[in-house]
Amino acid sequence: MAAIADDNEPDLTQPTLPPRVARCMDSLAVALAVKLRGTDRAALADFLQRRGAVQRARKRTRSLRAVERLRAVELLGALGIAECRPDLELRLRDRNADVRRAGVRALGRSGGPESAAALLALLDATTRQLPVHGVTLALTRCGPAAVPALTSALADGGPRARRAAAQVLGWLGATTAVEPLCTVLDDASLAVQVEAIAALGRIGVPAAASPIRARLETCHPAEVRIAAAVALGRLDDATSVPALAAALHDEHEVARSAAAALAQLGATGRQALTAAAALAVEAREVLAGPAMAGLAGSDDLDAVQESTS
Amino acid sequence: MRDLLSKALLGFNWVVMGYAVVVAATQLLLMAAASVHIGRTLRRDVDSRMDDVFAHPGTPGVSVLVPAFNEERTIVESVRSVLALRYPELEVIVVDDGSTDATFAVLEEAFGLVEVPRAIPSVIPVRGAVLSVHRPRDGGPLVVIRKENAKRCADALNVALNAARSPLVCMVDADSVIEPAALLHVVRPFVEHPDSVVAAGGVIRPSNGLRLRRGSVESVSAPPGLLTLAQAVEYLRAFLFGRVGWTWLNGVLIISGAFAVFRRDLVLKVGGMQADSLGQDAELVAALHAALRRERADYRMVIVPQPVCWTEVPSSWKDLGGQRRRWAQGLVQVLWRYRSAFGRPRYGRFGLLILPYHLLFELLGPVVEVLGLPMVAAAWALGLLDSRFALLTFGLSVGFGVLLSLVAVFLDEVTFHRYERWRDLGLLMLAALVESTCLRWIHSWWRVRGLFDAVDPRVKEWGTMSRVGFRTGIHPEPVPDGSRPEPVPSLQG
Repeated sequence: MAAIADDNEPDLTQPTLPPRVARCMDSLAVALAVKLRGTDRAALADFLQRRGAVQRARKRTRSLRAVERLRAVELLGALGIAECRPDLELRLRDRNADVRRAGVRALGRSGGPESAAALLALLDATTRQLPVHGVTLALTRCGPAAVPALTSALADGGPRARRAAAQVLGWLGATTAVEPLCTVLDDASLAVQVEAIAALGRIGVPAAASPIRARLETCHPAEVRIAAAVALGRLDDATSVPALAAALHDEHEVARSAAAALAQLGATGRQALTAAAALAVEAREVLAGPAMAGLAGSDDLDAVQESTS
Repeated sequence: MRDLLSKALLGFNWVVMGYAVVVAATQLLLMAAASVHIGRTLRRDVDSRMDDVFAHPGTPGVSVLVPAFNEERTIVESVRSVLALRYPELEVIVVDDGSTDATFAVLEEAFGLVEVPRAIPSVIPVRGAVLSVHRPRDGGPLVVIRKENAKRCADALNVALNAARSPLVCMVDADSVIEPAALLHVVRPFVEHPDSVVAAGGVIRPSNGLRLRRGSVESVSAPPGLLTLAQAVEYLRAFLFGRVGWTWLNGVLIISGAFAVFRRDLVLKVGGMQADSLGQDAELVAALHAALRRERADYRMVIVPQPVCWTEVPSSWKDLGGQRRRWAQGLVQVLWRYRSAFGRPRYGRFGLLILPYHLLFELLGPVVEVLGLPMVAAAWALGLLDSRFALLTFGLSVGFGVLLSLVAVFLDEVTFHRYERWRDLGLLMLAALVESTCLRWIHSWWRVRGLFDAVDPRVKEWGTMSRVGFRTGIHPEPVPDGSRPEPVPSLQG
């Protein structure tokens, strides 16, 4: 940044730099830009635009060499220039998987609602699919601007898009998405059901507790029951205590999640855990956890052993 | 009679010659594939990809499983290096497999362990009963399980697999030191290809010669002694060319147990580790191949070229010989167990390429090498040996081995640059020369003996290996007087 600001430095904005120096500058710019936000990033983008680096990068997104395209996409994504978004969206269909991945990352850094829709639409493409992990991170980075596209993908998208949309809505804590998420609790895809339950738990609106409680019943698959137990713990709804206490006698993974959830539900949850401790080792384990934390630094842990044995 | 013998010798020599050409061609192919793969990976690698794995709220958690039997010299530094891993969601499960030394005591003292109740489901049957579970007094992701010894490392791993709670499990040897970014490197293929990647590993290097500070690598120098130096070169060649090359062919059979990451659900599905196997890492990978091929699944197993782990290699001839014999025995067990998959199209690459390659070149290669020497002597005695031709063939064979080793050392230096002094590189190059000219025949001899051990019902034990321990920047040397420590029984391959 000093080089940009200092008038006495050599004029790096001249586009006549030797190619090796220019390449070096670009890679430094990427490394710097991903760490910058706001006006600093805008200043760097402006500097590189004046140097012609942005124009060259836009041109290089159509290079024959995959490495060139990838580096250009990384640079444009790091700078977050809105007018470059069409170039980046075009790379989402690139023939090279690494370039597609870079395109997803770049749109996550520079994208808005339009980018969110483009990313979700291509998740279920039959060829040249986008990586789900990258897309969900990119959508999370898009922030609340992506919520309308995500909500619409819940209703109209393919299974991968619906799953990603449910996941990201939960991470974003989108309270406006509670109703659409409740509608996919009976989705044809088990993965979508699980992610919708988890998302409702993360959003934390108690109104969602009742449909989630219903998923704790043993007629549902274990993955759904586990997700339901975890979500009920997050919802902090005391009316869920009996259902979670009953789940302590379910299979191990469900019982463990139910025990952890009960520990989050205050005094009534802990009472239920203590009552079940004689029969459920999962309850004893969870009871020992906070007790240990409370005694951290103390030598006397006998009390904990006694109370949990 | 002499005429018949001459013809048989000549025939054998031509077979050996053809075999050597095929081996060389295969190794060249793997070297080319690995070089292209490494170059492409590193050119397209950007730091933000690694940051994305770390920053993503959905990155899968990893349970690191550390089986330990009489590892008092190395266990604390190893666990520290695991706890220092850069990864968002980590659980570390150490299983003290009935150690008779102070393994548990040093852990208890170093991490302030207290006994806790813990539910461990019996998804995989185990032989040695769990005695107690311990966690650090002040919290943290460490869990130490004490169990009865069942004379099998696999049993300890199965207990850890039952106790693990993350979707991915990472198996680590208790005498290993892990690079801080190792998990990010190895988990990245899982998050980028969640539907297909089922197992992954990285490049392992000898830890002999490392200096540690609180579980992290402080300085790297060439291992002391010719034997460990030669193994350093051998590891570089095997991992950078062999296994990374096999990744390109999607035909990985061995992911070193020193550091390997698997999808936990699949490991449980194939019944965990085979308790009676001497090559348990290859056994697990083969079981996954077989199960996934039967389901016609589209899957990948990956070795990333980045160095991820440092592990102690044998520093005595006796230990090294024992290790190589066990490896050969383990390979025989794997090939025998999956003999029904040989040549069957239903098993795809596993039955048509991976198993036949390991039978023809990994298992029978040492036999051909060992038999070759007496045959040359016999040909010389019968006056059938064209000395110039024999010398040329020998020179080409040795020269090719030296070339492969030197290219591996060079490739490692230009890509990862871990050795700090020119002297270390010089020593490695010297070791490459010695390894290809002399040690290679000794290794072959041990492996042939391993084949005999495999068919001998009396030899089915893990054997012993002397542990030297790590040099650390904060503690005195583990063996200050330079004397060799007493050998301790080890379950680690």
